[in-house]
Amino acid sequence: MSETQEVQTTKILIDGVEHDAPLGGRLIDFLQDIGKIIPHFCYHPGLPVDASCRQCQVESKGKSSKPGLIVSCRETIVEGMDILTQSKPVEEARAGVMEFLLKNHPLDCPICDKAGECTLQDNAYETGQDHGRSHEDRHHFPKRKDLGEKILLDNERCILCRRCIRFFDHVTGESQLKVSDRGERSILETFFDEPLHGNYQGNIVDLCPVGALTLKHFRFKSRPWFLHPTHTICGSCSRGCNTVVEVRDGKILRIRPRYNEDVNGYWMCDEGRLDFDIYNQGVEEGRLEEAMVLGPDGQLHRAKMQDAIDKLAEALVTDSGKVILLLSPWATQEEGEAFHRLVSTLDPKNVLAGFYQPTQSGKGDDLLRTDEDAPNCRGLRETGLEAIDEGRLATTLEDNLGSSTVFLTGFGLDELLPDTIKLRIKGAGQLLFHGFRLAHFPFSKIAMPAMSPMEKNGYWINQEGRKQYLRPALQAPGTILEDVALYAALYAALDARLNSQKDLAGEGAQA
Amino acid sequence: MSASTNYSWPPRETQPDHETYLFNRVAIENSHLLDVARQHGAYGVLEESLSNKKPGEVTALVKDSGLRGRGGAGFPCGFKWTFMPKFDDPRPRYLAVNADESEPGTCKDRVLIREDPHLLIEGILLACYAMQCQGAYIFIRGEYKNECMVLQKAIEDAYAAGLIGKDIMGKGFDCDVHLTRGAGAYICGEETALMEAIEGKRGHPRPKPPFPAGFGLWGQPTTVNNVETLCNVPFIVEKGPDWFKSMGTEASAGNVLSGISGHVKTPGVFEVPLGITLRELIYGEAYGGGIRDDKQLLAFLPGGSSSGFLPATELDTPLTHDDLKSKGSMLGTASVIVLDEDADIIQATRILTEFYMDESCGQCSQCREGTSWLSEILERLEHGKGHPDDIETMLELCLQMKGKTICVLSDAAAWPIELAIKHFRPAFEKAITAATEEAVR
Repeated sequence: MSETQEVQTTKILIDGVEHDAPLGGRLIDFLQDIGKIIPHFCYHPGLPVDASCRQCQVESKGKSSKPGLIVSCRETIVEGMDILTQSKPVEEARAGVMEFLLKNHPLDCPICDKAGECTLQDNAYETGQDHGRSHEDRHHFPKRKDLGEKILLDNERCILCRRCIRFFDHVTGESQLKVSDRGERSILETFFDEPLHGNYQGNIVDLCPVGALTLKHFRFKSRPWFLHPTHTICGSCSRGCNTVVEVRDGKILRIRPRYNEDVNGYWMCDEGRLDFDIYNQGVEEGRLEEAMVLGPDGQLHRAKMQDAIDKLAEALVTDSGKVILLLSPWATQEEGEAFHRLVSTLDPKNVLAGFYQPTQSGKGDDLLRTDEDAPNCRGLRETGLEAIDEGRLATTLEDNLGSSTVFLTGFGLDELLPDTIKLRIKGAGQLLFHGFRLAHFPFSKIAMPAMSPMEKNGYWINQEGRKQYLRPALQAPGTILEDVALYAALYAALDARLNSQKDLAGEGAQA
Repeated sequence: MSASTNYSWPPRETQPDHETYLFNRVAIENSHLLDVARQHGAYGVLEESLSNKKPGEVTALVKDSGLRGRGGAGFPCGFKWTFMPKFDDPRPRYLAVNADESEPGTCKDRVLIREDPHLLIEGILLACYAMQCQGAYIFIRGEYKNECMVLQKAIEDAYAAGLIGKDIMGKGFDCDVHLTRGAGAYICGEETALMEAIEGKRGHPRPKPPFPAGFGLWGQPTTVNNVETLCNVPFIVEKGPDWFKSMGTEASAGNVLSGISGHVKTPGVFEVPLGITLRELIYGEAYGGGIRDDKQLLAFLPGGSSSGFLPATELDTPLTHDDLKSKGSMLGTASVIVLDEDADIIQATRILTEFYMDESCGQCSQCREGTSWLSEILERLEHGKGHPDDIETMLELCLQMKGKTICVLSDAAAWPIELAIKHFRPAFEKAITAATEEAVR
């Protein structure tokens, strides 16, 4: 709730202690806010209430609501409430629900990916019994059911909380899952057994309180307690979804959304969630980790960083032809400012400098994904850098065919530039490249390694102007200079070169 | 109304020794046709009420009569009508008619719908007039194919005769009647699941509150009434509350349709005044006629499957809401199922529980898992594979299933087991002892 809204409060009793509670608020939310543990399965704050798991029961003593056990996810706060969260009937009811849910659950925790972050485990530990009373055989349902390219379903583990169903029904608005049959034969299925589709499937895996829905990408990769979480921002589009990046042994294994009511709520798209393989790439997979300079044999050779920077400065200060300096829209604010300072030393007559403004991709939707395939266009515009779009770039390259110098800098630019531009760059003149992978530009004269957004600190400003902090989830190889440091070094090199040119010119005039 | 009397289906030659009204027309040949029904008084009360009575007066008559719902819960009908918002509320309002008669042993609405559909339509229109509903939605059980066809024809005939639709009988009241056929789920007889089903969704009960009178069909104010309840309405409006209260008992007024099935000589559906004893119903010549082959009575269900088994010692219980409630049972649909001494009470309980397992919608954890667990235990017991802790486990499971779920199907599944164990515990214990002895040997 935003602070500007005035919320009426009322005094209610919780376990005998008086609290100021928001009138009309949801009881379970308030109980959790004040630190009570209310076990639940079907309730999720981002979804409509279903009230079918019956696990979140508390006891009401007040006259204002009906006395006895009430389901706290359905109850709104009214005056005079008197709630017990730990009473004997409450504990018996919770243990009862646990017993029913575990009766036919396969209890295959040792081989279940969810173990360690499973609500059923937690609640069994918190409220369940230490033994089962059932003498009956467990019911069997399909296992490892393929729900398309991203998700597998295990119907035996499913406790039918229907969060995933409600997610598709109410969040994306396109129903894809349903419960077939009824009673104990109830089974979660897709409509007509068709595979799931869409860009938001991954969220149902986060929502699943048990190991019924698992992401193929993460299956059997790691126990969740071995993962190192980093709170950062997704860069797949200009929405800037808040994420948790989970890393084990220097590799990203999973990315999940982090709640931010104002940006992404509880969700994120599959593109941001699953397209992280590039960040895990090392030299073997084609990552550029050292500075390289074109040798006389026409091949790129390893070079010292400072030599490469000097050569870069030399190439940029040229009188022949146009110089095009293009910054990636994945750059942070800090990099944008450093780049801006760098290009301001150059003679504007001869130079086209700015950040690349990607073309509207058409991938946007009503939920989160925007049409801008890069995270920081708005921020870079605010630093005063010029936005250079595809058309502008194409004409400039065309006009200066064979005689221009192109400096591409920053992570992500090689993926963003369309193939036609890449072809034109090849024919442009000389290419100076600073990026993550050389794959698209083997014809570079100088190649410098850049950091990925998973390796750096900094700010991005999303499409609605929200400044969000980026934290490093991975450690960059030691041979790579931070992008900001590179621009600073390059600035120094350029400055020295330009000053010496001025000095030379001055000396010449005196002579 | 017609002067003929009849109290039984199938009709009998014998005349009843009490006043009857609900079944009077069903014995007449072709009573389901509009012309025949009108010759015998159908729609007379409607015309009179539309001309001379205000909506509130109709509600008051029904309220004063003490008519209680005949669908199972026994909620006072007129009182329920007064929950609807005031007439200045701009929202549309509906009547939902529960013709999803699926309780095992119950087939009373079926006779009314098939033999006297115009009585039902008249009752519906009177209720709609009293509550000023724009439309009535009848939800009929999917298995009632013939009844559905009869009722559909009756509705069409009534439309053609200007008895439904715009400006009914030229009295300026508009009301539509729609017929929706179910797809074979017991749970759709639960009022909120019924509304979901009418809306075309899966028949899952909705959590209450909100109650239907505030948020019903398509989110609009709605009252849900049973077929038999509505069939009482024209008579109450015609003859007045005092006449109605002269039948039955003080707290349970009027006549009720009671179906008697199972091990009796002459099963059937009978119109009886509330307060009649179960002994009379089961043994009376005019009704069940006694146990077949003159055997001993073992147990009976007094009001449909959810009401639970009562033993022969409870035969003198009067058929009223309160008397049966005090025995831990309920009047329910007043449909009596009789078991003779040859029946196995464990098997009978297992069959009932299996029914609930099959019909649970599967929403709530307790009901979905509990009904199947209970029937698995009972099946083991039935086949001589009991465990010493089975009775205790079943009672605890029943306790966990009662009063903790969205609707009362879970409770309804637990009651018969609790009552069976209460009254027939030795039978259960014998099954368990036999099984343990077998295991030891």
